[in-house]
Amino acid sequence: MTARRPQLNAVAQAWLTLGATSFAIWGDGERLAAWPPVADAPSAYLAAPVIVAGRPTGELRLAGLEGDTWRLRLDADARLLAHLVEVEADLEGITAELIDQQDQLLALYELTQSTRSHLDIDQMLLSVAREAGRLTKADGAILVFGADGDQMIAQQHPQPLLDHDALAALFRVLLGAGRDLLLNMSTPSIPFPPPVRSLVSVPIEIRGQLAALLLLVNKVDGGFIAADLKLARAIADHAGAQLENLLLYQETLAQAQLRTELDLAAKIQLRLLPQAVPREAGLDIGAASRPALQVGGDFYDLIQRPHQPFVFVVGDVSGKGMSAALLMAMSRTVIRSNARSEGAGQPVEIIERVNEDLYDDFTEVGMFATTFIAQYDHARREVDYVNAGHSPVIYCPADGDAQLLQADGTAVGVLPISLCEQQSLRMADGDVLLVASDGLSEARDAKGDLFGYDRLLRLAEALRTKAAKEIVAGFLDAVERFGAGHPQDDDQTLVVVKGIAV
Amino acid sequence: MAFNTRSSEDAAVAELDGRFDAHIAPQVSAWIEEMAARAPARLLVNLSGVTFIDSTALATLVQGMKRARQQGGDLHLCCLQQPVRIIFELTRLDRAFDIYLSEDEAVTAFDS
Repeated sequence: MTARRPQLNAVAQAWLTLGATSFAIWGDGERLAAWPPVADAPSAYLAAPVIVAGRPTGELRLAGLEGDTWRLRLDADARLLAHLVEVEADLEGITAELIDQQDQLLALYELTQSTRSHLDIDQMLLSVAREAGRLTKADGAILVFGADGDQMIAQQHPQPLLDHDALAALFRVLLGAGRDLLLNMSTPSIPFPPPVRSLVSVPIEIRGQLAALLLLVNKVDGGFIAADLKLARAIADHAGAQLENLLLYQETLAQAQLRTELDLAAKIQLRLLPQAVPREAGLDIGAASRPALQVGGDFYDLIQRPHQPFVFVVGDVSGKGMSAALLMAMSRTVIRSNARSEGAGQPVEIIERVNEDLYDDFTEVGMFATTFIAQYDHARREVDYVNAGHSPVIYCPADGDAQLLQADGTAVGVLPISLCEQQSLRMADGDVLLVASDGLSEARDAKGDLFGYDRLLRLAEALRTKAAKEIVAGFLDAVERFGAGHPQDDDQTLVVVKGIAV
Repeated sequence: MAFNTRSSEDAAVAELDGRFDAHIAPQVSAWIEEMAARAPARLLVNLSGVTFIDSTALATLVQGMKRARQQGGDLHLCCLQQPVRIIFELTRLDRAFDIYLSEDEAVTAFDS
């Protein structure tokens, strides 16, 4: 409740100025804070309860002023404080939820990665069974696929628990039930063959027909719970989509991209971009990202930090699709937490840590992330930045030609040690820095020609007197007009910062 | 887009033409996997015919370079056209790769 010290200070000071002799915040029968700080608790006071989410959690106490007018104002302060506490609690809840979701997405992503490369059904079934067993801590996981009922393919992990006939009989009964089942003991209609003691059964629809089944057998400790069923359902949905995909592939010999994957990737990407542009003294900031149909790995971040300079980041994970979107989410999180940590230091120190954190993961999947990290020093009116392989970056000083800035180190994930050196740019009135993604320079027109660096430089010079937001819109419009008649191949992202009179 | 490979005692060479992007990258990646497993892992990608390279293709080359170096070998590049060279310079990938003007130079460099 006293987390907002400076704001509470202001409220308390206002009361003291109005004639109060003391102002205090109480909670759990204790005085949490008092103004002036040394005052003994007075015996006569006005009190207003702080009611958070319907529960009284504290009290504001005011001495030296009496009467209904002051009581009403004190009540209003208490309600405002309660609201603030509620909003902060909500925010924490949302953050925790997001982290949970990200964990689950990553688990499902690993599953996608491990199954997408399989082109034959046996391998794919085994891979799903293995991951399902691992994720749910079941003794055994079995995936059964029977296209027409007469032929049955099954994979059991870690070893065969049931012989073919027992499994075929169970498969028929469970598929016949037509719904998700969680059974911790045998029933007359569904008798368990040994060694089954408990099971989770999730039928999988393939092309509108129940044709496969994910079976979890014997939880390692205790019985199965509802959460196991839920997770099994998610895995089964994934397995179903993969099976359908495989069937399609086998029929057409052309691997189809999963629509669900793309939707998910697009959702993740949009959700992670800043929803609003912050206000920063001396800077005019504009930013936008236009995702391509096939999602790419662009991201940007605008990070305001208490007692530390404003930081902005633009990055692009190589490749496209689900993997690029998820690595983009991971990179963004790693950069953000590094930038926000106590003693985050200069951009060059941030990029070194980020490269250390991500190098192994990027090497594992054969990708990298170009990354531009800058911070604005208002006292010097300069931007200090590192550019790890990112392009195009354009600096357009108020009094000179636009220039393309070379990266000073390789992208994150290319070399085990970041070679970045920090550079500085003047950011006085009218100086403009544009950090774009290659989706702009590499946009193609109907003939297949590239938009290219020269057009970007000329455009920067033409637009530099405009506000940052209009510069961003001007670039995206120009690239869109140029690309008319050719589908957008890649994400297009642009962050513009411009020095303005203070 | 064309992708041709040949192999001699000195090096495994891949030659590309046209746009080097996500469409051809999987083929190149498969070739790298196969060649990097051989000893010595000496891979050369000749980009003389390449007019454009995208980030997926760059990632494929970076992965190949890492893979070859893990095996005690290397992946060299040669014969970059101007637009491709500019991309390597702008993104500083010219620091990560050994880049040569001719195929002969690139092959000889494996012995140094």
